[in-house]
Amino acid sequence: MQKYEKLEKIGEGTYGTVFKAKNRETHEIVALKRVRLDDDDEGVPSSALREICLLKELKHKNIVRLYDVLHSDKKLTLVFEHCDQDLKKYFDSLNGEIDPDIVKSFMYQLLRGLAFCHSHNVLHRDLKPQNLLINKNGELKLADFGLARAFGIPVKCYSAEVVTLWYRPPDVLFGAKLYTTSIDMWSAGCIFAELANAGRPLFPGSDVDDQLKRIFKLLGTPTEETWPAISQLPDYKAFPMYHPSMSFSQVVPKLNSKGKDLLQRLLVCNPALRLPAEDAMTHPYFSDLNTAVKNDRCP
Amino acid sequence: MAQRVRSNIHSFRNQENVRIGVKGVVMGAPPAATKRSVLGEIGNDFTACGVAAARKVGGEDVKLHGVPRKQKEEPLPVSKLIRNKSLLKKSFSTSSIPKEVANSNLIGVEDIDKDDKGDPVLVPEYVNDIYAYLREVEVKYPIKRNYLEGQEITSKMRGVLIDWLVEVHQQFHLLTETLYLTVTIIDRYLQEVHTTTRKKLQLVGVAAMFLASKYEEMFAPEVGDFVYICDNAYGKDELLRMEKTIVRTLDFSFSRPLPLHFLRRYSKAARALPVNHAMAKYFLELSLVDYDMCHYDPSLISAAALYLSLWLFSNEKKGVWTKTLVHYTKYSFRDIEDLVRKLANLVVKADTSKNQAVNKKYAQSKFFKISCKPELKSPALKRLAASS
Repeated sequence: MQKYEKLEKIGEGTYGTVFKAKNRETHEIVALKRVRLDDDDEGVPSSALREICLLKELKHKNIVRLYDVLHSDKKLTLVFEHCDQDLKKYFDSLNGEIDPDIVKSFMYQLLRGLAFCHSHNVLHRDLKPQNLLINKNGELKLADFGLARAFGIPVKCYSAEVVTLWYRPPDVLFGAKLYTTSIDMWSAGCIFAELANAGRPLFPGSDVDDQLKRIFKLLGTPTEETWPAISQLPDYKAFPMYHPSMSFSQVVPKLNSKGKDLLQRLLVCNPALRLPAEDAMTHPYFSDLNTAVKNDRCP
Repeated sequence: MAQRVRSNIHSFRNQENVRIGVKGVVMGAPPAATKRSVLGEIGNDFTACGVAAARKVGGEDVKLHGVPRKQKEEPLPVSKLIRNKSLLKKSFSTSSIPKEVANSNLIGVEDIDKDDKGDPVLVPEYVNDIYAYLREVEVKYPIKRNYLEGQEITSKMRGVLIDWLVEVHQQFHLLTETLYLTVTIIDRYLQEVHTTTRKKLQLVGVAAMFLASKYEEMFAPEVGDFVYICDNAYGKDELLRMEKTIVRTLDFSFSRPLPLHFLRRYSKAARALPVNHAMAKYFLELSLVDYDMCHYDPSLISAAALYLSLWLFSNEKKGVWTKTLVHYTKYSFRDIEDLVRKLANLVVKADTSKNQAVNKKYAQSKFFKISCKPELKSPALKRLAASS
C-alpha cells in the first residue's frame, strides 16, 4: 500500500470500506475500496468479482472509473477515481432547493450511463442516490457495481433480492426473478422525482407491503389488464384498488410538463412498458439541455 | 454439502437445459406444431412457411460432403451488400446494425427482432448493440492455437480434466454458462502460466469452476464442495490460493463471451428447431473437451456448430446458410467451412473417444437423446468428416 497515502474514511460499500487516498507519486486523489480475503472464508466475494470484472469493461464518462486492483495476501484493494460526493450528500446540502437545469443535467447523465451499461449487457441493480457520485464539474457517475451482473439474451432468472427497497420496482417487489434492463429504469424514475424535489424520496416505504402501497397509491393498483400475468408473480398478493388520488403535479410540483411526462413513462408498473434509457435520452424534456452536457462524448 | 447446494440451486433455476419438453422431434415433420421449448423465450413467430422460406433464401447450394476443398461456392451476393469482412469484424460501430436492420433494405435479410417489441426478456432495444459489443470483447481475450506447446500439460490431460468437469458441473447442477466459462478460464490461465504441473492441473480446474460459479450462478457451491469433489486431494487453503492466483493472472477479466451466447442469437436467426439448437449445443460441448478447438473465437465456432446441425437435419443439404444467418453471424459460408469439417470429424470420432462425459450428458432424454441420433451415423456426415 506504499503507492497510496490514506487520507480519510469515506464510507462502506456493498462489501468493504472505502477510503480517500493520495497517490504518493502523482498526488492524484483516488478512492480505495478494501476487500478482505480471509482464509477461512469463501475467497473472493462474488460481488467483488463481478464489480471488478464488469467495471474493467465499462469505460464511460458517466461510470466511475476503476483504475487498478492491488492484490495482497489478505486483501484486494480497488483503486477508483475519486468524486467529491454522492448524490445523497449533495441533497443534504441543498436545503430543499435545486436548480431545474441541474436536475435535467444529472438525469441525462444518469440515463446516459445506464444506456451504456445496458447496451453492454450489464444490469446495475442497485441504483440509488448513495451510488451516484458527483464531482465539482457537475458530472454524475454510476458507482458501486457490487450487485451488478452481466446478462445474456434471453435474460434468465436472477436473484430477486436486489435493489434497495425504496428504488425497487413493483415486479421485483412481487418476487419476479425474471427481469431485465427495466429494473434499473424504475430506480431511475424514482431518482428523477427525488432530484426534482431536491432530495425528498418518492416512495420511502418501510417494508415490501408499504412500498407497494405507496407505489399503487400514486400510480393506481395494476390489474391483469394493465399488466398481464401480474398475478402469476411469485409473491403476488392482491392490493386494494387504489385510484390515483394525487396528480404528478402535486408529487413533483417543480418539474415542468415534459419532465412529468418523462417521469410517468419511467414509473410504469408493468416492466414491459417502462421506457428504455436510450429512448428516455431523446425525450423532449431534454430538448433544451445544455449542449455542453449533451455533447459530452465519452473518451 | 454438495447435496445442500444442489437442492438450493435446483429450486431457483430457470435453466434452459431442463426446459426441453419436446421429445424426439420427427425431422421433416411440419415444424409449425413444434413448441421450441429448448430455445425458451427466443421468441420467433414460428411457422412452417417461414422455415421453408428462410431455408431457400439465396438459393445457396452447399454440398459439403464430397466437395473438394478448393471448389468453393460463394453462393450469396451478400458479401457486396452488407458484408465487408474487415469492417464488420474489427470495427463495426455499435450503432450501425440496428439502423441497418430497421431499414431492412437488405433483400432477403429478415429482421429477426421485429416481433419482440414489448418482450423485455429479449432486450430488443439493445440486442444488436450487445452482440456487436460481444464481438469486440471476444477478440480482446484470445486463446492462442497450440498454447500448450512446451508445457508439461498435454492436450490429453486437458481433455481428461474438461471431461471430468462436465460431470462435476452436472453433479452440482450448474448452468451451462458456468461450464463454458470454466473452460475459458482454464485455457486462458494455462496459456499464461507455462509452469503448471500435472499435479496442479485438477486444482486449476476446480478453482476455475469455483470462480465461474461465483460469477454466473445465483447460488454458487461452497469451497468445501470443490474440495470434496476432488476427494480432498487439495486443501481448502490451496484452492483459495489458486483462486487468487487465477484472478491475478487473468486480472479479473471474465467477460470473454461464450459460444452459447452467440448460438442463441444464431439459432434465432436460423429459426432453428429445438433439436437443431440442442444438437449444436452438443457439438459445442464436444469441442470444449477437444484441445484443437479451444482457440477458435466463440462466435465462429458457434456459427459452425449451428451450420453443421442445420445441415445434418436438412434433407436437401443446401440453402442452410441463409442471408439472414450471414447477416447476423457476420460469417459467410466460406468463413466457417473448414471449421464445419473439423467439427464433423470431431463428432464422428466422439463415440470412440475416451472422454465420454458429453456423450453421456446428451444421451439423456432432457437433451432429446441427441448424442444417440441416427443422423450422427449418416454416411454424409462421415464423408464430410473425411474431407477435413
